[in-house]
Amino acid sequence: MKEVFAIIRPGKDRETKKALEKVGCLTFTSVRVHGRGKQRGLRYSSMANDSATPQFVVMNFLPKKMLYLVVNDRQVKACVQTIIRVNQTNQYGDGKIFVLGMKDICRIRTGERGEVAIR
Amino acid sequence: MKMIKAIIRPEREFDVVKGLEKEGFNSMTKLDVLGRGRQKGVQVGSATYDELAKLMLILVVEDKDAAKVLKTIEDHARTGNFGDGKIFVSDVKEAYTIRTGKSRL
Repeated sequence: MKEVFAIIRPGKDRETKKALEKVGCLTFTSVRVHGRGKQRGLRYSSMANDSATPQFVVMNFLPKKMLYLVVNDRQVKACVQTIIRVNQTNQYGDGKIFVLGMKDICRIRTGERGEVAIR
Repeated sequence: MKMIKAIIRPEREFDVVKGLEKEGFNSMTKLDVLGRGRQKGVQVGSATYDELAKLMLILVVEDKDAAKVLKTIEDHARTGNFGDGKIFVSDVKEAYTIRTGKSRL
């Protein structure tokens, strides 16, 4: 079993969920987070407020959506590929995917342990 | 690679982020959380606060950088009082950049 952290653009979450359903990853937890990458957020000059000189806007953190999935070993590849395919826009800020190991799972309702508890 | 989850005081966020930036660790994710430690929250007079507002920072770094990141977060988040938070480190098997689709940090 593996746990997958995917940090994606907040507008892409619905599309991602639909695509993940198709490859059999039905369960997930999502959190609205703030994040940034190597570019340290967003810096741009804006002509707002009718000022003659452009103002420099700094956004240190940008809103993102974090999807948190626990999947079977054989599903990991399909899951990662799907997230990449749906979220790729070839622009900075598309996000990252991290895959971590997971030792045990317990379904609280029944007390089942291990892989059966995923689905 | 290592995933570092640091639960810190929200008011120390700016210091910690600036400190990490100075060390060259620009990428991170933050989320607001509620939590408590061994003191089971805080008791002020007759009022108990079961869960206190904290900030969770998530960073993924190369193995060799993990110690440096831990030190930086520790130094900047410490006030010496209860409730300074905890840092958890776990192993990351793979990391992908969605833009390029490549498997690297």
